[in-house]
Amino acid sequence: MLERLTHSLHIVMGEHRIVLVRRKRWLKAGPQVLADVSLDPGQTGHAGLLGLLDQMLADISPLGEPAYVALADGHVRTWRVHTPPGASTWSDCEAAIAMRFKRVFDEAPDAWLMSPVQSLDTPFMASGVRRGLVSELDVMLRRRRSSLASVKPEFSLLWNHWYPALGAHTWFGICRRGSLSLGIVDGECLQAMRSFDLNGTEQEAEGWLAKVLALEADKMNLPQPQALAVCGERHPAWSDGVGPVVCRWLGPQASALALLGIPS
Amino acid sequence: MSRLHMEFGPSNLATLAWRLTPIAWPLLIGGLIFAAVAGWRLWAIQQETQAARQVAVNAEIKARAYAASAQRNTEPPVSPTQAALVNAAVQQLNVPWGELLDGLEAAGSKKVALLEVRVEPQAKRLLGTAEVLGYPEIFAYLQRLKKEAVFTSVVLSAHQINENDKQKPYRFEFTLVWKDTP
Repeated sequence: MLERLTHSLHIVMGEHRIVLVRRKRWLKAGPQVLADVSLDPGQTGHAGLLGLLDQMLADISPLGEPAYVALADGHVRTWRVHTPPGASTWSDCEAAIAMRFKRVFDEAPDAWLMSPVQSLDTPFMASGVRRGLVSELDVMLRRRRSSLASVKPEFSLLWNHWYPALGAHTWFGICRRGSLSLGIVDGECLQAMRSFDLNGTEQEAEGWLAKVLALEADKMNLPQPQALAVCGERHPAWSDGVGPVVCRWLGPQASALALLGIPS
Repeated sequence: MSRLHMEFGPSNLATLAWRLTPIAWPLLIGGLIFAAVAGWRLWAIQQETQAARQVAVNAEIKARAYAASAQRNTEPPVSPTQAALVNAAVQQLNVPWGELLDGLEAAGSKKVALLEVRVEPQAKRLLGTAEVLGYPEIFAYLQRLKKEAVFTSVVLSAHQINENDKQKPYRFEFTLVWKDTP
């Protein structure tokens, strides 16, 4: 019973593995990895992932502590929303988010949990995860005497960790395992998320990232970024800047596990 | 730059409590304690204020009652004018009408027509006006009045002939003083 107050369970559902970590609530030191299972390359379906997680929870027998889930960005959808003229209530914004989702993804919005990510200044970015994924996580944890306290995308965890070091008109990058996640910023508001593979020959060409930044700014009808702040791996080609854009390295933490104090 | 609010967990109260950061817990507990102490102090102050207000109201009621009592003690129970009116009324009521009318009736005769009777209770006087056909009948009437025990004084005040009447009667006025009856 006391562990419910003093400990917390962290479930990191990454792109390539699922890790369960127990940590003392009041102390950042001393995280304990309870289980770490790598995913098969083709194992991306929700049913398979939840079945694997259920098996992992059965093996560790949780103490009843609250569970905090970090979702890989692949489980999250983001899209841009223009608030309709005359919108004055929260319901108007919710309706605009749902209508835009239906138009962009051509799926019924009822099956998704959605919310704006930062502010309602138009246009703004909205995000969503499958309702079934969250509800099944909730049921699974309740069955193990635990409770679902939080479900957050990994990108938002990293943004909320690093955003005090970002300046205005600075785009945010996460570089890890040969991939780059890019947060496109307008002024001080995140407007979109993009992911790029860095393993191709095209990406190794000089000036590739500068072209990508310019192209993304044009696509979003935004001014060119003044700087790019990157966390995670240091890319040698970007250390002197990306074309006219200043490149800044924030630090090595570039995953939810790293934020928990566990080397990736 | 500001934080992202990408949270898809359940939104019940217990879940919200689990999402509080470690520094928020002591702040929340401190805030709850502060709110409880402030609420208790506010309640105590309200109680004290109410008690003080009750004391003030009681004091005002007592002060008003004392002032009213003092006013009653300093003022005469009745003003002189009221007293005079009351006395006059009492004296009017104390006029011995029965004895006076008996005396007048006993002294009267068919030759005397009593026209008017007025009393002055303070002076215990009765003012009468009467008419007779002969002058001697005036004195005879006054003599009979003098014989009545109720009257202590009988005085002829004025007399004249009523020229308006065909029979030319004598009209006279007289004053009687009556004595106190036990």
